[in-house]
This record gives sequence, structure tokens and C-alpha cells, in this order.
Amino acid sequence: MLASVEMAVGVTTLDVKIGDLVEIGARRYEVVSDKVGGVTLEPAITRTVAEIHAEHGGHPLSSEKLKELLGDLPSDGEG
Amino acid sequence: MTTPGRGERRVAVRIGPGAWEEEVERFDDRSRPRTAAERERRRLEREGLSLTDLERCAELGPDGTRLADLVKVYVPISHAPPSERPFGFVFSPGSSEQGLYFALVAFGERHPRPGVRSVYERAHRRLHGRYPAQ
Repeated sequence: MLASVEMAVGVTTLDVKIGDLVEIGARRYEVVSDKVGGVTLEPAITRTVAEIHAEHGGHPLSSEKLKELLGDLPSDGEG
Repeated sequence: MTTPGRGERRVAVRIGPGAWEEEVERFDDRSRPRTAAERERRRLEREGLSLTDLERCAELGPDGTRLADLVKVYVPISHAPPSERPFGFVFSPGSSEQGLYFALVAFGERHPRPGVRSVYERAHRRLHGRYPAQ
């Protein structure tokens, strides 16, 4: 005879939408689409590349300038 | 912080506290990726990156990422085969009054298990404001 196991799981309803940030256990997550009609949480990304450069007092290089300064770097096409 | 000569040339690396927190500190303290990233940080900030360690990111990656004008290095940074270096830093080349530099924009696993975003997907999100195919 198999014993039945019951688990009492509390449900916390979150009133959030895609793009919102939530904090769980002192970590921030972003609400994003799960691509199948629902949502999922991803570790938060709150700064754009341009904002990161601004923090460093600079700006991103253009494609032309990049090639001029760095030459033809190799690429393995992985990503 | 650049010197002439393709092979010896090094470029300064800048790692902002916000980017480090979001990219590296999202991993547990003693996890493999976090330990690997922390091991490289001091040397990167002190010595910069050699162009010989760098690769250009793909303009269109197999997972739909579009990372033109970004560069990457596999971690641990070494001459070991890529298959032995499972993580990656992605940088955005930039310019300031101090000269050319690489700004950290993403760190993570190159080939994570299904359901986990790769370092390339995170870089795409930071560059374009959304994940690929969203």
C-alpha cells in the first residue's frame, strides 16, 4: 500500500507585468516573457550598454572606429 | 593603455560595480562561474586584455543574438581549448579621455543548460533592451 503525501504550499500572488523588477532574497529579478504565453524571472539587467559607458565617462566605439583601432579580430561565430 | 604591435597590444578593462553585481554576483559565492570570474578580475583591471585573447562576437549568433561591435574572451583566460573554458566575458569597446577601453557588459555560461540564458543572450539584452526573439 502506497502512502499518500500531501504538501502544503503557500502561494504568493504577485501583481507584476513584463519588465517589472522583483526582489527575492536580496536578489533582483526581471519579469520577462517565457515565449509560450507566460512569464518567467531572469536575473535583472538594469543598465544598457550606453549607460555603462556613461558611468565610465566614455561612449561606445562605432564599427568603423573599432575596425580602425583593433583591426580584424577573429570570430568563431558562437555568439 | 594601448601599445602598438598586434601581438603585444593590450587594452584597458573597466568593470563597473553595477555590471559586476548583475553579471557575476548573481551567482552563488562559491559557484564555479563566480569563482572563475573573480579569479580573473584583478588581473584584468591591472593589466587589461591582450588583443590576442579576444574574439569578435557574432553579428548574428546561432541563438538569434546580434552582438556586432562587441568582443569576448573565454574564461578561464588561458590558451586551453575553448571546450575547457565554459564561461565568457563580453565587453563593449569604448573611448574616453583616458583612451580606448573595454567595458564589461555581460558574464556567464557560454552553453548553459536549457532554460538558462547564455552570456550572449544577456549581452544582447543589455545591447538591445530585450532578449532575442522577444
